[in-house]
Amino acid sequence: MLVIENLHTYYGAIHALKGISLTVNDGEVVCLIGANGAGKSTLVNTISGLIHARSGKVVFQDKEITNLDAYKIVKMGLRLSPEGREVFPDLTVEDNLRLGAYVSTDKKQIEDAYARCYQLFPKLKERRRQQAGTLSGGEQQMLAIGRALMSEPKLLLLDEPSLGLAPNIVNQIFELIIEIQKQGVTILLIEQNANMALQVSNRAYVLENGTVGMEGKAKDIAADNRVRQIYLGLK
Amino acid sequence: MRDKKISFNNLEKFLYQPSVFMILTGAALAVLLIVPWLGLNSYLMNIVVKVAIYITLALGLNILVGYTGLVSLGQAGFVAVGAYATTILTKVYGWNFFTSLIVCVVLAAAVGIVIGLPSLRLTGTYLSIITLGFGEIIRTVIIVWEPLTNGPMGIRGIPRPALGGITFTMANSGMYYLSLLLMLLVMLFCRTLVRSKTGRALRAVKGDETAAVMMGINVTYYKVLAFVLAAVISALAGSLYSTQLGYIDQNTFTFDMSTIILSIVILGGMGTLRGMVIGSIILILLPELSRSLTDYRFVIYGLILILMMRFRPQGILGWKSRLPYPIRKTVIERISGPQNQTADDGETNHA
Repeated sequence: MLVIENLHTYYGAIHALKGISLTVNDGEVVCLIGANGAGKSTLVNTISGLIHARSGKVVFQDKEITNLDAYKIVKMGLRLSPEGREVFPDLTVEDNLRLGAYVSTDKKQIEDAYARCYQLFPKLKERRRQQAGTLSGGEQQMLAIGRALMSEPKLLLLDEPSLGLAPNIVNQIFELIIEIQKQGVTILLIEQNANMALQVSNRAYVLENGTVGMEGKAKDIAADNRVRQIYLGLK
Repeated sequence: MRDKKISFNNLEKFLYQPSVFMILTGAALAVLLIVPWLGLNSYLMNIVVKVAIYITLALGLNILVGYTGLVSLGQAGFVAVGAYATTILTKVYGWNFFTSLIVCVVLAAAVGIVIGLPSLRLTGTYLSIITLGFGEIIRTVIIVWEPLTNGPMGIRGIPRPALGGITFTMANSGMYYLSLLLMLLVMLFCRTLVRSKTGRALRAVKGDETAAVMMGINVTYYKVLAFVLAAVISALAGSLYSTQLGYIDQNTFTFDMSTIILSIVILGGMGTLRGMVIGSIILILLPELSRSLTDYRFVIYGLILILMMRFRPQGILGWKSRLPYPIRKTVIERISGPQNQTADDGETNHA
């Protein structure tokens, strides 16, 4: 589904990604964990075309998408639900979702997407006439994810979906991730909440200072002593 | 019952019921059509035409400022492009006014693209300054390009539009109907645009550019498109304006004109269509009617801009912008089933 080879990204003179290689297979949930500044968001932003890579390759469904315009990548079926949610606060929930389906041209498909989205997030259906800015943090996150699903992406990048949410909402979000995976969407999950992320993922990568420090099955990573100490806060 | 409460929103819902809306629109149209028979003197009729032209101009700028979130301070430049294109073609080359409009549209679109391109790299204030510069550049071009524009002497005796032997003048109200027609067409166009997928994309660009990109929206394309549309509408209004004035020079299209157009958009309510109407009426009609105010009008405009931004940034008629777009019935039925649809979406029955 997604293959990244030796990706290097710079912010000016700062070398943010120092040769990242990773793979996401069809139907998987893969999580990226790492400390602040490890390069998690830089990586997803590079994949989705918001930041340009200096060298390396991003291949999505056998097509190279390195440094393609971001909107073209979305059209190919790779969607990012960005950090900090970024819903359109002045638009209603429904309009936000409609914009999510912007790249779809098939009306039937859009209607199906609405139905599916409201089934997944009943809260959004209740609030569909409300301005998105008036929703709670958790609801906005659900809207952001629902919006990203409107165009039926093949691969969904979720950047910090649990950021700033109450613990019980965080649980809901992670349950949703499993639900979305069951519907056949492959997910690359970026999380600070390593504990939860590792529980819902098949495989995991640990990012350290712009490089991949560790990779493997989520279970193995969660059982690793160093990870337990540094990221899970366990002894 | 909440629908007993008198609020802007309920008033809004009442006014926008299809039947009420049709009646009001019909009545407004009827009044507009008989304006020439109301016995207004030629001075007042000139002002009425000016108001119609400024409504058109404001609608054009509103696409940029109100829907796409790009503030242009150089609309007068686009107006000048249209005015000069038409004037030179009709007066010097003897073209028909209406044929010259085609050239005017093409030219304005080209200029719109050129001015739109910096908007890809610049945002906010920086972009506004570029457009401000553009307005001044156009004025300088007018002065310097003497063989074509007659420079600072301006062009006199601009012919009135004519079609099939009929000349549209102030006396036979042709100018009035022409400006009314243009205004209504532009209004209809804007209304359609705003409710279309394109309109939604524009609003997304205004809301959050990064998020818009993540929706798969080609932000570049829509920003340039907004500039092109605003340019074309302004140029068309400019063509008509030049024939109404009968004389144009570089001082017809100063920064003051851009300021007035922007003031109308902000006073009326960015992102609303009717706001442009009320804004133009207030800002064009009132200073003309009370001559004593005219000397101070730019002081007043400035004051209005500051006060509006501080106390009512959404404009006089801005509350409408909060209403959602209509969603197709089939979608609503799929989601909630036909029966409980009215109950849970909060749209109370006024019938």
